[in-house]
Amino acid sequence: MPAARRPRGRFLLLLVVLAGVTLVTLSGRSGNGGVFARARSYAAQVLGPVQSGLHSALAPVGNFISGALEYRSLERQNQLLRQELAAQQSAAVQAQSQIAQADQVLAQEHLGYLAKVPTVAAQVVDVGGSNFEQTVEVNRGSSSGIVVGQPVVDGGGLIGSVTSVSRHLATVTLLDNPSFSVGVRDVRSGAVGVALGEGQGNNDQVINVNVGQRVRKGDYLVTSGLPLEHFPAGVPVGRVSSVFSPVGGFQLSVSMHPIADLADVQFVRVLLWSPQTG
Amino acid sequence: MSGPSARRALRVLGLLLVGLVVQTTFGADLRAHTFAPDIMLLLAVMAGFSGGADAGTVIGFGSGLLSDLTLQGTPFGLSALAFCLVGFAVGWTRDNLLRTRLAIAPLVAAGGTLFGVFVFVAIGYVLGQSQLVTPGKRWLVVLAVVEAAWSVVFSLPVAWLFELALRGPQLPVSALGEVTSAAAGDTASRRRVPAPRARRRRRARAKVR
Repeated sequence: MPAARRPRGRFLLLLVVLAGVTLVTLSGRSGNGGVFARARSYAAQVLGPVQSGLHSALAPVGNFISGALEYRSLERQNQLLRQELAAQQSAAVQAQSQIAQADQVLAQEHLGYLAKVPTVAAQVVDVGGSNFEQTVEVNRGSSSGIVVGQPVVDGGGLIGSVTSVSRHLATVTLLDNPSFSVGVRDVRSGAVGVALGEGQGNNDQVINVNVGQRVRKGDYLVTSGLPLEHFPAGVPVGRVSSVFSPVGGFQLSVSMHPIADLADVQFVRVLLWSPQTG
Repeated sequence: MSGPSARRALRVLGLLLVGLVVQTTFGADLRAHTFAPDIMLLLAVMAGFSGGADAGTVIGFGSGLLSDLTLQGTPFGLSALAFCLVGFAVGWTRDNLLRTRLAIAPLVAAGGTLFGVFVFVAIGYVLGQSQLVTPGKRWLVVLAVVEAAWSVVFSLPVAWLFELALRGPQLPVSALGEVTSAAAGDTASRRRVPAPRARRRRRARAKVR
């Protein structure tokens, strides 16, 4: 073919870039709904069964390779866990009385979370493949009454919220995803703030906590349930891992470690709850 | 579109779909330092390496579109935009500065992936996706390095698959850009003869000497 008849590389690039910019613009304008959200939902619906089947079949291979690559780290974790287990056993008796006290506080504060909220149990069938998003896919969807925005918990506490739903699958964005935010309240002091995801493996940052508040390391944080919040009040979220009061600042620098083990989520409960219906 | 062009386009599409399934199943379980490989980005890089700038642009765009289908937090089209630029850049480099040898595929995969991660984050940040940089610069550098390492691991099989997918008798310019004067059919001659621009530069250097 004569060279003159070939499309010029830069022209082709320009054309494709323009197409990309157009898609991004249209996608941005359509927000969470629209044709692009539907396309993603259909893709999840089509890919879901394939993903689920192959994931179960290939997960042991992937886990083996990851385990081999992370061998030293796993060994270290194992050692730490053994130490922690020993410490926990010695503190078990003491903890029982503290649990009783905590139950009393929760009852006083009307924090019996999940008591009246209907839930749907679901199993995690896949984890998100992107390094820029912390998501998991669960095997329940709109056919089970799940809609976008509903909170998701596991045995430990809040793990995230539903961000995409197809008929039989739902995508849950996890608490440590950088775009995730949730209003929190310190159970002990009553201070409120907003916890923001900081990426996989990083502690969440808690902002909007005024300097005068008596937040301490080790305090438990639960969802605040303030008006306009997307989560019911009293769902355990995390534990304060550090508190720093900057010189001359008006707000505390607080970080929080999620209670739920976000790296190994297997079974979850989706709360069929919305701010409107309660 | 002629028969061979259509077959070539179908082979490339099949390769991209297989890549998507691998990424969302097996790839998600492969974690080193908590980071998974980005197979779709690697496909864009290797398309540029095996097929040149035009193939890299078009296949990179397609690979990005498929990747966008699986993402939730970023606008649809962001990966397509980033990956087509990466495919073009790798393809342009191959056309003008490199010779396509399978032996350098891992090096190209690593460089292309590093470039791709930063292009994706930079474009995303410009478009208001500030969550992409929230975890910090150090996290981003570690992510790019780990992804590049994963790309090195998968580069040779992917480059080989692209050689197979882009093989054919005629150039399907209308189907996949210029997928090919090089990749389609005359792979052997491409390896022997340097690209025209590189050849002109060498001649100019020889004259200066």
